[in-house]
Amino acid sequence: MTSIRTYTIIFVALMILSTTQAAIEEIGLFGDQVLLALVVILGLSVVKAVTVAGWYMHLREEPRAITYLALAGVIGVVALTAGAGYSIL
Amino acid sequence: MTDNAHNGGTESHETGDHDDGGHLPPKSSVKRWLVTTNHKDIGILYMITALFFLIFGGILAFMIRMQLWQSGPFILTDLGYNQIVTAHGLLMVFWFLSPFAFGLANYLVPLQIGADDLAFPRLNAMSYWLYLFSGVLLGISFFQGSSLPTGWTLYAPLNLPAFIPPVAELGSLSAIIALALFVASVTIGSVNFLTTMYRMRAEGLRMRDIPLFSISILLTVWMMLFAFAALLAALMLLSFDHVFAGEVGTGYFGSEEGGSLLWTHLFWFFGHPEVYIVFFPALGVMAEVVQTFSGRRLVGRKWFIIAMALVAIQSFIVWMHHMFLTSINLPIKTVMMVTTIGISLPFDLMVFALIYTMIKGRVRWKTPFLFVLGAILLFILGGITGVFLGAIVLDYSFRGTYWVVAHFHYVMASGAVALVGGIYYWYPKITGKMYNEFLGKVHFVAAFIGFNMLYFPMFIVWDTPRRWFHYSGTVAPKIPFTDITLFTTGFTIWHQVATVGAFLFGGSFLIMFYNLFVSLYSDRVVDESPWAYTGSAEWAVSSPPPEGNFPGTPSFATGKLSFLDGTELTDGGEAKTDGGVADAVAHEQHADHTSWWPLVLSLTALLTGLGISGLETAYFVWPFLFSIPLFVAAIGVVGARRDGFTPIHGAFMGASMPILGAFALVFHLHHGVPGGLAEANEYFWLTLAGVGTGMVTLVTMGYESFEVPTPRRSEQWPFEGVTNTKLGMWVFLGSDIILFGAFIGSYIFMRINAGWTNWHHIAETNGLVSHPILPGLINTYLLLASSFTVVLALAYAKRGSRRGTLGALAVTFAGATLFLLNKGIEWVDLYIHQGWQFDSGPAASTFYLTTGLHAAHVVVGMLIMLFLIARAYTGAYWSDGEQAHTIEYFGLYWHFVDIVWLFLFPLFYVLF
Amino acid sequence: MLGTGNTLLSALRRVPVAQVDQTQVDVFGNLFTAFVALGTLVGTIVISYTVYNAYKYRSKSGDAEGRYDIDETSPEGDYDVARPQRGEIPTGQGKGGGKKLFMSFGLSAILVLGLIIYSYSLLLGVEDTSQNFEDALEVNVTGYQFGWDYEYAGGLESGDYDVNIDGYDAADDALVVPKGEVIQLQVTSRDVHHNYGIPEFRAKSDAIPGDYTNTWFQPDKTGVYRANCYELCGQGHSNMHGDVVVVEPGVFEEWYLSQEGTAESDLDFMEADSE
Repeated sequence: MTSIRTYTIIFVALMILSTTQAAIEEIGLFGDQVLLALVVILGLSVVKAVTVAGWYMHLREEPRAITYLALAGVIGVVALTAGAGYSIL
Repeated sequence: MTDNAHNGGTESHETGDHDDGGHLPPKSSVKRWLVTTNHKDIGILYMITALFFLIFGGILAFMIRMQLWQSGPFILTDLGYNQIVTAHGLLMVFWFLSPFAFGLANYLVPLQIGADDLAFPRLNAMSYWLYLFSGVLLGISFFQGSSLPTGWTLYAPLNLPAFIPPVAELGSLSAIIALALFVASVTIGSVNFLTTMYRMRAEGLRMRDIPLFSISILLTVWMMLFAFAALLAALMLLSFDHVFAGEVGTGYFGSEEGGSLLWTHLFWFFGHPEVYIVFFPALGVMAEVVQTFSGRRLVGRKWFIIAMALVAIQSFIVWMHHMFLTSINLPIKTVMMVTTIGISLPFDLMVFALIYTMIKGRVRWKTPFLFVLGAILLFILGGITGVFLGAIVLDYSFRGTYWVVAHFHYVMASGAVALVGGIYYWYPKITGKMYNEFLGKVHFVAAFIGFNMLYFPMFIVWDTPRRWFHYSGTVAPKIPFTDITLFTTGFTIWHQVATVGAFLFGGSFLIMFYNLFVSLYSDRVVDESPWAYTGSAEWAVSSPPPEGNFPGTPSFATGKLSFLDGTELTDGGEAKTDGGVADAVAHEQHADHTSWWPLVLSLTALLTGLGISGLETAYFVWPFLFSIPLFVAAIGVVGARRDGFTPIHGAFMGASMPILGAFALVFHLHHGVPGGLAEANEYFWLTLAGVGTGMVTLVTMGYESFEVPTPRRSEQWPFEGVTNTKLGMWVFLGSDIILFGAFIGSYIFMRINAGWTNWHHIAETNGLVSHPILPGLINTYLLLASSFTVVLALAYAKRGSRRGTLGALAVTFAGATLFLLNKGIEWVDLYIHQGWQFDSGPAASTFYLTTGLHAAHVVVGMLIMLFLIARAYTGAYWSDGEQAHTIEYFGLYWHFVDIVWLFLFPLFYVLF
Repeated sequence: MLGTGNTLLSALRRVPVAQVDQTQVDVFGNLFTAFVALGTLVGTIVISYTVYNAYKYRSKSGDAEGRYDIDETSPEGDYDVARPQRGEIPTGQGKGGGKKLFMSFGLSAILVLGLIIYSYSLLLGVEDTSQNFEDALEVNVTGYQFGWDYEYAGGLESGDYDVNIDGYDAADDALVVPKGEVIQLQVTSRDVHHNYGIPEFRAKSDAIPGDYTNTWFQPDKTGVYRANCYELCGQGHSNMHGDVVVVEPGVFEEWYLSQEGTAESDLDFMEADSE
């Protein structure tokens, strides 16, 4: 049973990470390296998403099968996007 | 939401609650069939309805074959032919094959796994009614001028208003919406079946022990869950194109940034798993029938199941074999060739397993076996010709020809033939009577001959282009490497043979309809198992089974089926029952079996869908906005009746008026109140009626007390410790992930096509002046905060703090409201001040649609929250033992909406 | 030798450089024959085997008294196999069947792998000619509702020429090509998704608006042929076809140069003919 204190800490962390994403782009931290910026910023989103899913949605406490179910959906999306995107490169 | 189980009965039951929700009316009454939520009833409804759609699609097939009797127009015009070809495909694939299989599945799966019904009975009924009404909407589309003439594959940009004849515009949009309603039906069904099969199996029945038909259904619904979400995304984007864009160069599928190719990717990512979705239940039937009528357990059962699972997964990575002739690159084509030809391997294994089972068997050539054996042979032929299509160089010639048509009819229609075998096999179980065996055999002979007469000539004249009826002048069929033509009249004679075969094949079904109908009144009564060597649980109960399915709680704990509180199943014998129709398992609480709301809600969906087809762009949003105050008022009124009148109900009823007034004011500013309403066309009123009644029905259904007790002892691996409703919510979120993923993927695809860094420039060329990050960042803060507060609401609810729960829910609601307000300000600036509109180029369309879909999810969340607040106020979530489940389930949905935004923010703001 | 259009065989046989050794018709014919032969063989064997076994292991007993199926009591000399029992949990077949299953699976895997490799090798050749063959006649094809427009490499467009060649009765917007040359087509559409195919020469490619695809063919006989549309594209789809006129190279040169706006240098690809 997660405590309210934990929820609050996570909330603050999420806010900080979001601000970081905006800041990275605004100050142009990666300059012309579009791919690097993309990877880092989206990577931060993945961290945030996993945190919300793990703690707020209690995935850490649920049977592992539920995580796999959600992952299956994510993998499907990645397959479609990567396949379609690659096909026109 | 009261479909979940409660320990110790926490829902307060008013007396008289059970006059509707209690026992089922008798089968002879019409009302019974309208309000039932029992899986056996719904199974019968599905099967009969699907057979009607078979007849409808079959008559269209007859018309196609008549048109093809000779080259050139015969009984149909160009537009007529194109519509018929489209509707035939849609009806057979969507409205006949799968629903028929699901009729069988509805009836049999709970029996086979030892459950007394599906996990969510009302949702099950809703799946059926949505299915029926979606088909009705498709039928109506013909009468709105003309229906969809694009082929069932709906290729872009032919599927856009720019290329659809004006007479067919209304009907086309109706057909598209009908498909979307069908997807809703199927998604609900997937959630239901998955939850049931993982959580409601009888004790001792592991997942691997499930009978093969149910396993095939399990894999089918897994595929359905993910595949149909991709189709829904494509249909939503297409509907957007129809309502808001659709001219050449605009919208999604008319876009110059790969719009046409985008459609093929989305459609076939769905479309290929779809054909296995259609076939798998037939495979399950084959396995059951071969086993029973060979009198031998299936050979290699474990490998059979693994092969089926492998196909299910692999089906999602072969889709570009439908696109070999497009501009996709060689490496990806090669990958798809390997995965496509490779997918024949697990099918090989399954077919061989079936064949080897007959060896050393005690085979009886009865009607079910004949149909299944015939289906296997036809499937072998169809499957082999599919491998041809996987070899890219061959597909370079086969594309768009009758080779494809012949191949897929061999595989799909052989699936239908197997399902017919299933009809005969389970008919005695469902009706308690045996059909006429001689007529069954006659049907088989006529069907098998007719089938091959119809489809084999298509291989001979394979060079006929698809959807052509002017086929003379095409290349006469020759023996390869020679100049010897097979007939000097070219293709005509072969098409004529096919037409005769069509009538023979289709006509043979009349024998079946007659047989099955007349046998109902015969004296050929059957007992639990008229067939020898049946194994699965449905053959251990009476024919038809009792209302509660079993004469006691089924259990496999001893290694074979037994019924607790009374009867034991002895070796090789029949289940000893009490005699007569056994009563349902005794529950602590009374299980509910009837509800009007699935039917009513689905009817409102039909009205809404029909209304949207003719809704003018300028009026589009208003029916939805106006129904929001109706929703709010309904919570007040219905809630007061259900929970007793409290200040919150008064507040809701009161608040609905100013909300209505606010919307009316904005409407007046746009259109003028008397004038604008007078100018609105009839579709506006239809949509308003549909959405309005739909909202009220949702509230009423939410407040309806509907008990579904959880089984006391059941196998739940791998979802132990998760309630049925929670699992259902997660399964639903799985499909929502794909829905959003397809929207995001479409954006990424178009952006790659345009050159990733060109995007902002494209937006500016189309009117964008500035797109600051700040509104997106603020919205991120707001949603994160609301995720925080909703999890607080759960924490407070678990502690029984009414004030804390209400406060946290209210703050969450406020956060969502601020989110929408902030977005509204942003959009007004973009849309009105900068003139960057919905169809101002691909950057605009993708931005508005993707963030718009997200905003729609937020609105839905807010509506649910209003409901929760009203219920929380009356203390619904923390009575004794209540674990605040409903708030937790809502929280899951809300966090999901938040997570999606966490990706939209970088993609559409930071990295724009 | 990718990129030159030369295959090992052509080098050995010393065919003219402007030609490929295997046209699309040859490639298709070879692959199709191989598949049909193998498919018919496998299909016949498997289907016969199935029907044979279903018949051989037919139950000799009739329906039991007053029932609709045989009695479940095993007859004398019954085989030692697991027979289904009502209410059982199927825990496996026991003996029999598994080894056969693996053998047939293994055999199919080998066949399938062979087919993949063979198809892939032919695919590479076809794609190579499509993209890299240098001495080809290049024509742009644009599909529209409901016909085909052509544009030759030198700029000659099908709206601007007419097809008045003795002995050939073809429409004025036909595609005219010389026999024995490789013709590379770049295909697109100016409205909806079509598909351009010349069945006699096995050329086919999707015509996608806003996008380009490629195919090629080498016509080895003269005459008038058809280019059909193979993707549903609207009400005129069923009758959407154009003419393809194949003439001797000399006739082609004469016709081409007699049209306005053409130059001799456009026909350089034909100079590569050695003989």
